[in-house]
Amino acid sequence: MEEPMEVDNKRPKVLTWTEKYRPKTLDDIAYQDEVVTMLKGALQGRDLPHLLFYGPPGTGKTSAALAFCRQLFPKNIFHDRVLDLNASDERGIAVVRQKIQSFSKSSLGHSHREDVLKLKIIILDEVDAMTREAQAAMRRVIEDFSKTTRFILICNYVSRLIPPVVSRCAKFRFKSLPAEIQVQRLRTICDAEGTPMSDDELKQVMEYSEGDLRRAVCTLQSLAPILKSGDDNARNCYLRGSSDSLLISNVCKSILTADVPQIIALTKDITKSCTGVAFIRRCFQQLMDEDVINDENIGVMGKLVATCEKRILDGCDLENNLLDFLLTLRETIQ
Amino acid sequence: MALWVDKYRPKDLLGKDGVDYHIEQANHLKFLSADCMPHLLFCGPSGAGKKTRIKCLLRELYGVGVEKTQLIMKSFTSPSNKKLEIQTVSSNYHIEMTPSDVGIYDRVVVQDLVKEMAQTSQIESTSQRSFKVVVLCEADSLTRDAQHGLRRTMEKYANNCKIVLSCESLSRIIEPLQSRCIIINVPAPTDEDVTKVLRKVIERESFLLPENVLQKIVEKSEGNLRRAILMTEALRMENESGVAESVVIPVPEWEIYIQETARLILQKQSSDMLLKVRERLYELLSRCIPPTVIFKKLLEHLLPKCPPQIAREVVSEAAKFEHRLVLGQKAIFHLEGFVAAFMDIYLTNASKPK
Repeated sequence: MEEPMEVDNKRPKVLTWTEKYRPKTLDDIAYQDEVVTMLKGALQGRDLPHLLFYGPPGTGKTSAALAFCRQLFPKNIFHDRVLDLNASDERGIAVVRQKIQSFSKSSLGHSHREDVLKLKIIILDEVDAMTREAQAAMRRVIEDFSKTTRFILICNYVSRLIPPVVSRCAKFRFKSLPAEIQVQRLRTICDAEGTPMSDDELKQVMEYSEGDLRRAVCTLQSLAPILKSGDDNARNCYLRGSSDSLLISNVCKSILTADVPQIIALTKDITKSCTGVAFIRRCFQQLMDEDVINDENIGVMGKLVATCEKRILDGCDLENNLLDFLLTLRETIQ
Repeated sequence: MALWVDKYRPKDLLGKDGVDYHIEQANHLKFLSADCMPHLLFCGPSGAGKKTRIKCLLRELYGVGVEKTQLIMKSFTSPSNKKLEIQTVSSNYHIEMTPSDVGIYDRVVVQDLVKEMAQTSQIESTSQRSFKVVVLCEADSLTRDAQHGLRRTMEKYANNCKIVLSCESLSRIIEPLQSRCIIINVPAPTDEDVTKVLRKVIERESFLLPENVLQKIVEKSEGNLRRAILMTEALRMENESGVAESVVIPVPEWEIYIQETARLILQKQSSDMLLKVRERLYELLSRCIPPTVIFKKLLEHLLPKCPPQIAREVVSEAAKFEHRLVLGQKAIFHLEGFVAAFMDIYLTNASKPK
């Protein structure tokens, strides 16, 4: 039932850029030096512990794991040695008991080549989406078969894993990519695809993506046809992206003087143009940059932003929370 | 006879039958579909035209063939051996479904049906596009598990299958999914846009509508184009002969009822009144008005009437109780809690020495 790990790219034209420029070898992984050094050591035959990769989306966790496995095993035995399970597979407790256990139990066939590491690897992507029971069932499995099997666990939030699982692995945090590295990466892609772009414009794309390289590449791809067409007007208007920044600056300007009905009207406007929780967050950032929110009131406002975010994520409307945010802001700064 | 909403739904992204507003965005979509299409995430308030844009995009991709759709019930089994069915609309090129229809089993839908769609590739890919499209509606009501389930599917099978998500609120889509899609924000049309579209519709229907009535409809629709067009058609049905200038756009009864309730709350703040209000709230709930809607409308009517110095406090309370309402079970507690809190704030302010 196993599908090929990655679809072979016979027709590279249809690949999305995020897949096309996914790092193929460990050397291509940007910025995550500790992990790469450790994995390279393992490639040369040093000990390999169980691994736990965690960090924000788009920092190269899955890419690192796949690139490592690909370099470790030649293509013909790849499927025998690597089991890749992610949240799109059923991963209840039954799967841990059957599939994972039987894979780890099975002994290695005689390899023709001596230089291939005598190990099997189980990659569990998005572990934080597994139930606690399933995680607990893994505890023994991880230990018992450590002679022949290594686990690579990948997740966004390490706090959602149960401590016994965490303590069995060597933890590696994938850092958010700093601006220079992202620009550099985006620049390489731009050059390879022949889309002309200035540094400023790249920076804008990057800022929009908030340290998530995948999102940046995705945005870049969506902009590419427009950039290629060479129409300067269109270029400016698409690069500016959404009307968010306009609305935010509007808020910043009017907050100091507006009265209550004006703020209510403003909130209505904002909710109509539909932005999510990101709006409050960005607005907060902007207000901090402009020193409207300063040392005196950052305590109150920061707490409120957190509360609003929680409420919205729990399924409340944006409108009320935004109104709450703006009205409190107005009261605190006046 | 088709409703006007369907009859005048734009068919193409651009051109004669093109969409009426957000032209730049339509242009952008056209560019996207021409090259290698990424996964898309449409978000916007209801009635802004998300679905219309998705349909136009599909037509742009596959031509007219995409409109030959059929309704298929797909059945699947949950891990606990429960047999379930989900309704899908599909053509040769795309499939459309609302996984949240099946509640907590949406994860199974994503893991089975969507993955199965994604794994099988398009036959004879030379003559047409090499990928299929899966449209998932109401993506924001997908459970976390289901959303996690989409993550690797979207990457692994990106060649075979593009996923188009449609949702109202972006904040309920998990970050990793957002970073895999191009986000297409579809804001509600401005009042001018709505006016323009309505004018076009009534002209084609040769229906005479006085200007001030048109404006009233636009105002009432609050940026929901679907509602605006439906209201116009309803007016036409009621007044076959022609519409008088003085015609009143009917307000739903429950709205008047809520308005009246708000008036009562402002009139007197006492425990007797609270009881009375409670009865009215019960009445509303038993008529199946969603509690969130009651809450919103109530606040809408109360807020303009209260003095500006307490507005902040009222809104804070409202946000707090709304949150509890969403998390909790019994709506009446939270609604009543808010009313009591409001009365308290209002009364304290009124009795304060000036």
